[in-house]
Amino acid sequence: MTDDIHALTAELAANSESLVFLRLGEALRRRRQLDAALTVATGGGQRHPHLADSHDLLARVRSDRGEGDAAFDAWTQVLRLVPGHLGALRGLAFMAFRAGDMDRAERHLEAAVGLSPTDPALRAALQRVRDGQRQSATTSEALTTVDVAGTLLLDQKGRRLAGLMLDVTGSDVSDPVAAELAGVRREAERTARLVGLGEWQRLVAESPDGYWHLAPPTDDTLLLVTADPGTPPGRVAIQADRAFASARRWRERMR
Amino acid sequence: MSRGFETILDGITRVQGVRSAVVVSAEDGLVVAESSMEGIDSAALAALTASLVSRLGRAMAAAGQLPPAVIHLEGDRGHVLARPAPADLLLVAVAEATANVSLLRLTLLDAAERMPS
Repeated sequence: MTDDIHALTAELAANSESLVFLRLGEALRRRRQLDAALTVATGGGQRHPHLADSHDLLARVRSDRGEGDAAFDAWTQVLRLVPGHLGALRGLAFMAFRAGDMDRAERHLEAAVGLSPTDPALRAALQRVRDGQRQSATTSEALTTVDVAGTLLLDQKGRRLAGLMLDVTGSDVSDPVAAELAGVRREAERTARLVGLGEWQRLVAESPDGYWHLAPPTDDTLLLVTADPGTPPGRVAIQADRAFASARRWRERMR
Repeated sequence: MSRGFETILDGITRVQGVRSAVVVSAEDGLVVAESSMEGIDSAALAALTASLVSRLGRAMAAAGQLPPAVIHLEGDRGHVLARPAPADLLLVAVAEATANVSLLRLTLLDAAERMPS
């Protein structure tokens, strides 16, 4: 990958008008070199302002940097240039989902599936958003709260009970994440017991991609709430506590 | 224990309410250096925390995200905080329930920057 980036950088240096900036910016984004990716995407966009893919690249980089408003503007610009651009629809659906606007997420995903009806990832994401809406309607209290990027409720065996988690490309990653989290719960319980912490209450992880807030609403469930990196930690805790209380009531009613 | 680790661990245990500070090898969960104020099984703490951080990292990777930079496990009687550090090490601290975990978090972040590699 590093060699690829060197080669692409050299190619762009040799011809600044080349469209190779699209591949270079994406390679840098995937390596989480987001400052460099932003420089490449911005430069490419200035040289090719009418190229929809340049704005799409810029939007993905902005989204990864947690700059939601700028990402939204860039994807909107893509749709002005190419109505029905798949990447922009997917990106806007992800942003709507992250903001808790499931109606808008569904509309964008429906448009995307209409353009690419055989894409299994898009179809799965659309189905999950629809399932999530139905579930919310029947449980009266949605687990998803405003500004929370993803909320996932799972059982002891790592099976998803409610919620949805999408990655930055809009792909549904709920099941693989839930499967891994079952092991995290066991390890958190063991650590708390051995170190004398008593019953574990919560596990919070910070990364450059945001916050993960894990807590056991009941003895047979685990709740994950994720939030963007720019969210104040105290606010994440309040949102997580709210989702935690909803999940506990929901689980009690299911018994 | 090397002088570098000793200084860093002393800085962590000076935070009020901290009961133990340990440098852990992230790969195998072994204690590299420790400064415990009272009877905590450092070997078990090291192994379990390394495993917890590793598992959490796998879950985050499944979502296409970077591994954790700080983790905070909270129980009803205390806290464990862990911060990955250079050379595949982890800085781990155990604190009482009343400890100022915000200050402890900042202390760990600062200590990780100063870790001898």
